[in-house]
Formats: sequence, structure tokens, C-alpha cells
Amino acid sequence: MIEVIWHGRGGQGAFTAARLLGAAWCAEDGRYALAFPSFGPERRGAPMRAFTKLSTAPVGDRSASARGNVVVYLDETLFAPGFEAELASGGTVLVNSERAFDDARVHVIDANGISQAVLGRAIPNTALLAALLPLVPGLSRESLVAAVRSNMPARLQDKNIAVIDTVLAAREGEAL
Amino acid sequence: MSDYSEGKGLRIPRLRTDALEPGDYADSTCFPAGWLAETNAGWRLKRPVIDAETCAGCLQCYLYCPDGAIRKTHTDDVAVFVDVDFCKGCGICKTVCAFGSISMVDEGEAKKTDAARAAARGEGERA
Amino acid sequence: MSEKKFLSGDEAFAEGVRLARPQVISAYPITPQTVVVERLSEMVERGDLDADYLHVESEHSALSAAIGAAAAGARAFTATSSQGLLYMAECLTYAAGGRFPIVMMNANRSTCLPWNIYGDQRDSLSLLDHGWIQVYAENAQEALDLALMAYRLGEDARVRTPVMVCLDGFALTHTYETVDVPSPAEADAFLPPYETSNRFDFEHPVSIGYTAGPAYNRYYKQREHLDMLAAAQVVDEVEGEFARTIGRAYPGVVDAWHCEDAEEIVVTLGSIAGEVRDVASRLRAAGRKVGVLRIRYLRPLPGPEIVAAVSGARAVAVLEKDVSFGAEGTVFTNVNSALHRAGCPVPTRNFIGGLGGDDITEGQVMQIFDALHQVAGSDAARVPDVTFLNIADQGGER
Repeated sequence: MIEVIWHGRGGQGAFTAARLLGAAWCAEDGRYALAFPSFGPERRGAPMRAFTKLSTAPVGDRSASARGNVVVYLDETLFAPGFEAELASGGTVLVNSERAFDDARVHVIDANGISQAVLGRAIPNTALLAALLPLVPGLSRESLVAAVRSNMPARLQDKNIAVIDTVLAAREGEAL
Repeated sequence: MSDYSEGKGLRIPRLRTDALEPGDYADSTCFPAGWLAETNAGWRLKRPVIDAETCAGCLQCYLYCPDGAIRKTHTDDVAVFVDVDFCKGCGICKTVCAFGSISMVDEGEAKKTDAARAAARGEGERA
Repeated sequence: MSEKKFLSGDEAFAEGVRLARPQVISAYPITPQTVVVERLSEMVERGDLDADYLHVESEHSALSAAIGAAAAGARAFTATSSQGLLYMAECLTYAAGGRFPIVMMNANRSTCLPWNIYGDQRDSLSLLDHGWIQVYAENAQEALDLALMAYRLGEDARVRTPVMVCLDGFALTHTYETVDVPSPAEADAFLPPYETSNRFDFEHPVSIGYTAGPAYNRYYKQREHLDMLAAAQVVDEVEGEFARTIGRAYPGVVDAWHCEDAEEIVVTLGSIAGEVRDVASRLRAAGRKVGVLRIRYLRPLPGPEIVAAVSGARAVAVLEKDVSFGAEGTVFTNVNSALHRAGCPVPTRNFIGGLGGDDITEGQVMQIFDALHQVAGSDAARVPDVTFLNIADQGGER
């Protein structure tokens, strides 16, 4: 099972990203996912968490993940020393940041910059979702796009797919 | 029993006399309307009698009767009649009648009149 | 053709209700049920569902309106949770005694005080005796399917009883997973329109919802009881028909996992069952003979099925998210009653957890299986009858 923990602030779309990841994973038959937010009252700007559990068998444990194979920070201010406590062994971290960190486990992407450029607003969730592609085996651009198409409001779909493609094109450039 | 129910399509509640088994009724609290478990007229000492000649059909008695025992006839000869299976003989109908068309008559006398009328129709035994 | 969607339990249930084509929906929103009624009101607004949607002023009115609709012959739906369900309690017996097969979704949530919006099962379990069939879903797919099956079951002429479908608050209502949504044609093939003689209109005047005194009352109550018992058999028929028309099979009033050769069995209900099975399958892989019995229908009480599943075990635990204060867990009482009636001597222990949304961890489930191992062995006296999970001090001797 692959467990992804999302850290964000209310309004950044962390739970939407968690949900899209689960939907994208389940595009293929024989795959199972759970996606859920940290339960309870919500407030814009307040720190919150969301969880995605990906598996090839039905997922029985509906508890919040204690450790993630991937831990995503939609807001850099939430990424703090001690993050290892939540990281499974061999796990990776993805941070929405303009700067690099001197830690091989920590990947960064300027999701605010990309979403600001493409969407006109700093809603970083789909940029981070696209940046997960190389970190979560078994995901494809097509499955992400299909998840956006079937789970986001129609008026947001094309722009968010453009965000995904912008991230993937940039990553391809880096790889070359 | 009133004369007005016959042939008029009116649904006048009647005492149900055939025995019921629990299986006939206990499967829901829903039962065909129009049946009385028992009549409710035993304590009546006076019975209202409506004078068809002077009744104006204003329906005040129909509206005021606390037991809903005054019913529309849906005929041209008189607007309302008294369902004597329900009437308790309280006399409110007589009080509200603006035309003096309702008189309260002695129940014993009225029963004799009923019996005589029934006998004339050949129903003497059942009255 | 059915359609695969990624939905929360609430959303999946709303899809099931849409497919059941209720004519009247009356509801009052309460966390964590709110999403169900929001989705249904959107469906009605868009025209995806041809129903009268009544946004009433309270839960008491929500069920009252559903009863009125059912008395007029309509298929009716309502949903609630927690204090809302308790506020409905008066009307529960009207619906059951009037034999109106309303379907209600209850999002299982803690009851106050202290105020708490999170999931446990004290709300519905405290109302087991009000004449409603109670069924507990494990996942979003089962929740959707139960919305359809509940109508078919409750409306069956042999049953004519309202059905409460319970979904664990948040763990099920707010968790997204893949759900197969049947097409309207498939759903229609499974669930015919509601027909009943238990209704009134101007053409068929009836006396409805009347009084029955001491001379008659017992007959009504016995019929309610016997018809509810008969529902257990009808569950199997309804699920057979569901498998035939929709293509998904369900195991009847209980869901037994490796109970046939199990020495230690955990009995539970609702969405925690998946986690208990996960732990049990790891123990199985390590050679422990363990089983899991998920109670799906708690009313009618699946006594014979519980006995059949656990009578070969050496120790049985009942894991539940409620307590009947001053007694024990309500499910524990019910399971013990079934075992006692059958003369089944297997020792039982009660584990109460998840209260007010507390997480029941895999570690705690492991502790329960280990405690059962003690009960089955020579250390039975060291495991108390009732244990509160995740609390160090278990209180006094009694």
C-alpha cells in the first residue's frame, strides 16, 4: 500500500488533490483507494491534513495514516523540522517551494508560481498532483487528466489540465 | 339510521357486526373507512329534529356540531340530517340555528316514532 | 451500463437514493449526514430526480412528513444523525407501527454531552427497539447498494417495515472510494415502483393511524415482531435478486470471514470490520486461527446466524462503538442473548472503542485478538467482561 499524507491550509485544495489522486489510481481495474480529510470543522487558512491510501487490494484501515510513503506540503510554512516522524522508511517529501532543500528525500516544486501563471490564482493542488507522478509508481498523465475530468467542476477542468501539462513539460525539460 | 344514505353514495359510518380476526386488521393501522366499533348514542336524552320546511341550509349546525354528527344530504329537499349513531344530544345545533328549525325532542318518544316508521317499511323486528 | 465513480459514503448513498426514485424526500441537515441531503436537493433541482424535496424545520418534522407521504402511498426518504435521530425518536414508532416502509440513512455519530460531531454508534444502537430494521454498511459501495435493497426489503408485503441504513460518520460518510453506480435501467429492473394498500386518498377512504386499546394492541405488536423476524429470510431473497439484476452479491444478515475453523472470533459491525479483517488476515498468515463476524443486520437480530458462525470458537469478542451505561455494549448484550438461547457456551468479552470518533487502531485490534487468546487459554479471568479501548484505567471491580 502507498500512503500519501497531504498538509495544507483550508482553501488550498489539499483534499481535492487527495481525492483526485485516489480517483486517478483507481482508473485501472483491480486497484483500490481511500481518500479522506482530517475530519471535523473546517476554516479557510487553518492547517489541515488529507490522506490518500493506494493499494491493489481493498483498504480496510480507514484510520488516518501515521506515516506516509509520500508526504506533500502545499504550504511551505507547514514543513518543519521533525517531519521525519511522519515519513515511512524510504519515503519522500514534496514541498511547494521556490527554494531547494539540502535533503535527498525532499523534492520541491514551485506550485504557487505555476498555478499563479496558468490559473491566475495560487491554488497549488493540481501542480503538486502532477509533481507526484514520478514519486508514485503506476500513475500516468492520462489517469490524472481523467480524474480531473470526472471529479472537478467543468469550468475548472481545462485550466487544471493545463497546470498538469505545464508541470510535466517542465519536469521533462529537467530530465533532458 | 337516516334515510339519506340509501342510493346517494354517501358514506355513513355503520356499526360493524361481523367478527374480525386479528389477521384481518393487525397488519397495519389502516382499515377501510366507514365502520364503527360501537355506536355512541346511548346517553342521549334529547334528539335534534330538523324541520325541512324552515331549514335554510346555512350549514351552521353542520359546522358547529362538536361530534360531526350532522351531515350533508347532498339532496334538494333538505341540506342536512342528524346521524343518530353519533349524536350525543348536546343541543348546540339547536342553539346556533338562526331559523328555529331544530327542536330537541324526547329520545324515548323519538324511538317510538322510529319504530313506527320502521314497521311501516316492514322492518319492525330490527328497529 | 453502470458507471465507476470516486465518491464519499454520503455521495454514494445519495446516488443509491436517486436510483430508488423516492417521490418525497424530507430532511434536515446535520453533520455528518449533510452531504447526502445536499446532493439529493441538487439532483431534484437539476431534474435528475423527480421528487418533492421538503426542507423541513426539524428532524421531528422530517420523519413526520415522510410518514405523511408514505400514508399517501409515496416512496419516502429521510436522513439524519445523532441528536437529530434522537429528536426523531417519537416518530420512529409511528412509522414502524403504521407499517410505513420509509428508508432512512443514519450517519452514525456520537450523542452529547459532551458535544461531539464525530462517529460512534450510540445514536442508532440506543433506538434498536423502535421497530425499524437496522443495517450497517461497511463501505461506500455497500451503502449505495443498501439504499436500493432497503426499499425492496421494507416494501415487501411480508415485511412492511421501515429500514434504517447506518453509515459510520466520517470514516464512511466522508471517505472517498471507488463505487460502481448502476444505471437507472438496472436499478429499475431490481426495484419496482411502490404499491401498497396501506394508504389513503379520496377514492379509497380509510381510517389510518388509529387507536387500538388493550383488547387489540397486542395483536399489532406481535405482527410487527413476527414480520420483522420474517425479514431475515426476505433479506436473502432481496440480495439474490440484487445479484441477478445488478451483479453484486451480498452474504445475508451477517458476513462471516473464516469463522468456520476459527478459534478466536471478533464480532463487530460497520466500517471498522475492514480493519479487523486486515489484522485477522495477518494473524492467519502467521498461523493463528482467527475469524471475523460482521453483523450487517442487527434488527432483525441474526441470532441463528451468529450462533452458527461462532459456536465452534473458543473465545468471542464483540467490538462496538457504544455503551449502554450501567450495563455493557448493546451489541454484546444482543450477541450474548443469541448464544445463551442456543445453549452455546463459548466465552465472550466486550470491547468498547471508537467513542466520539476515537481512532480504533490496528494495534488495538491486535490487542483484542491477543485478549481472546488469553480467554481461550488458561488466563480467562485476567480479561474483564467489558474493556474500554485506549484507556489505561478500566475502573472498579464490578
